[in-house]
Amino acid sequence: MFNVLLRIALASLQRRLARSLLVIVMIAMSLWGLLAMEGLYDGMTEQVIDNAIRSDSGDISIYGQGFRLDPGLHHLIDNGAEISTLLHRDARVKSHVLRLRQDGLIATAHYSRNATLMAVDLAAEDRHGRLASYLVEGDYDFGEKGRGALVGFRLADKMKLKVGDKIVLSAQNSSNEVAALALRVSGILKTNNMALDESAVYIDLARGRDMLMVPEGVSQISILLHDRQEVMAVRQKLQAELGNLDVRSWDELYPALMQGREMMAIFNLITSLLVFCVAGLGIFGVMLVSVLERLREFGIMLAIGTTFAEIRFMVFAESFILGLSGYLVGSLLGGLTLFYFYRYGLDLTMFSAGLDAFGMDTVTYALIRPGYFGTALAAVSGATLLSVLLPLRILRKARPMQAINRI
Amino acid sequence: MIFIHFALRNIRAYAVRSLVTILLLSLTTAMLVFATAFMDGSHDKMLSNAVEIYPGYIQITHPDFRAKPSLDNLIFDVEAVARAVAATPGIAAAAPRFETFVLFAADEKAVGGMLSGIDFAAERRLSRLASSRTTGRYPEDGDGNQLYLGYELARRLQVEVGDELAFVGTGADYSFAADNLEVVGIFRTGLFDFDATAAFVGKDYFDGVMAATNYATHFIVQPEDPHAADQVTAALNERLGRHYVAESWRTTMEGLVQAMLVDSIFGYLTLAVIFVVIFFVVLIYTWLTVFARMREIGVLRAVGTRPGQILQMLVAESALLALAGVVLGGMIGAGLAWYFHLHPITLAMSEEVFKQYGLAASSMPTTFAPLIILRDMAMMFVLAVLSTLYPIIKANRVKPIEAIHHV
Amino acid sequence: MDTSFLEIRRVGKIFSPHQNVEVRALSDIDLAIRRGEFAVLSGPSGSGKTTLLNIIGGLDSASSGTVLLDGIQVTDLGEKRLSALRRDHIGFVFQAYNLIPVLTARENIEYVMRLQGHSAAACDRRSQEVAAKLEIAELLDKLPNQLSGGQQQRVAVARAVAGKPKLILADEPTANLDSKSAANLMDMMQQLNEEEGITIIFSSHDPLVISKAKHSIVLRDGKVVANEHLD
Ligand SMILES: Nc1ncnc2c1ncn2[C@@H]1O[C@H](COP(=O)(O)OP(=O)(O)O)[C@@H](O)[C@H]1O
Ligand SMILES: [Mg+2]
Repeated sequence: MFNVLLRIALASLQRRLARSLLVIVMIAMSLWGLLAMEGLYDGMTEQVIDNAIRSDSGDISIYGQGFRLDPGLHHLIDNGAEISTLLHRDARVKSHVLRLRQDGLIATAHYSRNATLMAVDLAAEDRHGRLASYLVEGDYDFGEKGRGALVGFRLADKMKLKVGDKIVLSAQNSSNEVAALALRVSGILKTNNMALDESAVYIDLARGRDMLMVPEGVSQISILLHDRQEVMAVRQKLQAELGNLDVRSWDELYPALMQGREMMAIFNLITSLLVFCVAGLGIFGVMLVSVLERLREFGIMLAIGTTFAEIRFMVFAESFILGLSGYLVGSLLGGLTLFYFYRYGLDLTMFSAGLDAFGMDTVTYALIRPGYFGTALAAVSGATLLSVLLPLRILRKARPMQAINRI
Repeated sequence: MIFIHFALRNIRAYAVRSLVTILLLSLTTAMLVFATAFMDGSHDKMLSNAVEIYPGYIQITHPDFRAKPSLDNLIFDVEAVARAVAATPGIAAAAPRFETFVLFAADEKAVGGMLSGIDFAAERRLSRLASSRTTGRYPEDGDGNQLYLGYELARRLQVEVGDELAFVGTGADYSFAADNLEVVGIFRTGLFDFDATAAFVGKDYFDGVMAATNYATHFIVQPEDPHAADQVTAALNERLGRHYVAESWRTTMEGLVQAMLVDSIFGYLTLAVIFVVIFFVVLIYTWLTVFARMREIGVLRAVGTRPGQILQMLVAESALLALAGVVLGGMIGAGLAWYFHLHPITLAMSEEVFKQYGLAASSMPTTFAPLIILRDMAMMFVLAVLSTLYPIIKANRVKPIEAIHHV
Repeated sequence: MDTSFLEIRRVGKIFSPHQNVEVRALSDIDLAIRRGEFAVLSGPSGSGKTTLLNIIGGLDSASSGTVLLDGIQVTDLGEKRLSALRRDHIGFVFQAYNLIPVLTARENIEYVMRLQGHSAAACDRRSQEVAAKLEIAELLDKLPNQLSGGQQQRVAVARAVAGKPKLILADEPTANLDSKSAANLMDMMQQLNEEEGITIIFSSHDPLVISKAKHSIVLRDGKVVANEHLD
């Protein structure tokens, strides 16, 4: 039985082929645009978040109590080794690194500027957040004697630093005296984490400990998890075990990024809603006309025993076939577009100065989330179904059986 | 004009189409007009904030200073530049600045920062330093070693108004320079980076300790009309000759200018996705009404109406609808732009976002620019009429006999 | 005696197309039709033929009175039961444009049977059988707009018959046909009435067509003015 109804639905669409195609193209285009937009915007948002997490906060960071408000050597974590063992035992933790940090000054013969000294283990940093992938010039190496330094690209730009240049770092050590260290720039890093690019100077951990006279303590332990969903659970567990330390998830450390992500989600939602409402209006017009022009036909069908429920099914089917076809074409186009940008990225080098100001990479890689297609399917179904409700009401009111004898 | 008459009749006869078309077009136009006003307004506000807080509309430097901001590329004859500036029309105020990076040391803390010698009286008209004061007082010329300190920097140094601190730096003659300073005022502009690094002393005092008499890193120039910054810059360059160069904010703040451009591009792209769908729906509704009228068109053709005349009639109809929608939407959009121009939108974003992106505005007035609004309306009108053309032409191609038998 | 196959008792119908306007289309109609009859409703245009047929078939409701079809009170049924009644027990033929335009002749004929839930094979057998009787076997795969008016009406009759209804209602089935096609169609309907034993009520104002009936009912201004058996 449903076969016959479906057959009639299909044939009716075919009878007005050009019109049906218009609707399908409309749905496909709107979906295409929405999917491409959503995937690219999410890609941008997540890229910025990813940079912050990889270069600094990890999924979770542990600081000494009070360090975040007053970053200094008197708020360090003393039991770094102990925490390391603890983290190694937790299967949810993918990796972690220990960092020692102190604010100071970087100087060349010509200029000086404030800088954040980051004493790190380069190999561990690369295993942890792939720090080496941010290198834009020079080598990812402090040299044999640990006399090299990696400098944030904005800082390098402001100081007019090139690889090989001599620099002098000075900072207060743990006994409140200004200590200095002469190094050579071995590489320049562009993490697009603005705070780091603006002021970070990475130096060898052992050298940093010597200079600052900190044999044991660390400022920050950055932790990456296998699954970012578990951030809250791991954070809670760590906070419970390390009561005297400050355990923070990435979104607490970068609230602006979390807010940016939420705003993007809301923005996408509003845009999608708007597009689907308008598209729904398009389907509505076509279905209304399609129902009204077949009033007699429906009258005959009702007269020979078709129930109104069956007619309703047929009209729904018609609308849904239109929606589904548009969905399939749109998803395909949108999916392919996203796949292209996922693979090759959207290169916005021509706006690199502007993107730097937003802390964005010049090449954006799109995200492809299964959710996009699921939500889109739900939205298309919703739009197609809602848009025939009124035509069906009008159809019922029109008493199609009375239309049979009107020619 | 029988066709206008026809068109008016049909607009009434096909009320649903007319309503939907006018509704969608007014929505589209209102959205475009308002989005343009909002984007332009917020970008202007962010830019003017960023420019006016400290960097200024026009800067004069040694020609090599941008590429190599060393002590070799200073302005070595402040008087000469001041004379050139004074001789250039259209300038409201100007003053030299000398910026240098030093290490600040308070009791406990040593932090790198930017110490600048400025003309406190002139800066009242050149920057927003005076109005950004949170505690203490704004220094006056001749105050000696009195320091005007950024809020975040004060926090990091843990000093308050009345406290003393020392600085260590390099004088203009590469000599070692150090002195004690007394904090008399603390300012907070909202530009996080700036508040975290900047500190000011009077230029006369600065010149003494830094051996910088008659020297400056740059001159800051405030044009009488900020919109004429580029013209004033050109005039200045003519007068300054080869020894110095003037640059407008478009050059000195290139990153931010481009960032706003990128933001606009993405904004318009998103609108484009919505608009494509809307114009498709307008097309579909035109299609429906034109084809519903097929027989009528056939009869008109049969009695000798030329295709061109039918085209005129149908286009007149679309144009009237488009005009109605665009005017209505334009008025709504203009009304919103006007309202939010007077009552700026306060974005519900946390300070964090602004901190993150180095912006200092949360209250965003829209622009109200009648010419731009008219331009947007005209554009929407043309697009709307264009989107109805396809079905009209298509219907007009049908032969009269087919049209009469159209079902 | 089987008088109770179709009983129409004091049926009246008042239309009120607008407020304050009332059109009395039928008043106090009393009729009885026996099983297997070949009956005609005649009368001038506007006399109430269509209205009465619609009420009998449950397409429209009576303002007063009752219709009993084979013991079922049609005038009491809800929309769902009416649909089922029409599907299972009544066949309809209308004046014109009877067929579902997007379905072929065969699909049109099988449509009611499909609704009734018959298998594809059963539908196929029955449509062949009916098509043979109505001499449209060669036209089965054509779409309605590829058929002439007379052919379309024969397909419509085939569809009405295919579901083996107790009663066929045909409202001016020949009105749009030329006289030859009209006579042809009436002959076939008469044959079906005899061979399949289906009760048929049709309306017409064409004397030639009317003369084929065995039971003639004449309406005028919504009242029965003549009711006679001609056999
Ligand atoms: N839907 C309706 N609304 C108002 N009046 C109607 C309607 N249908 C029929 N009538 C009126 O009822 C009367 C009988 O009509 P009808 O049954 O169609 O006559 P016939 O079929 O004999 O020509 C006519 O006066 C007609 O105008
Ligand atoms: Mg009639």
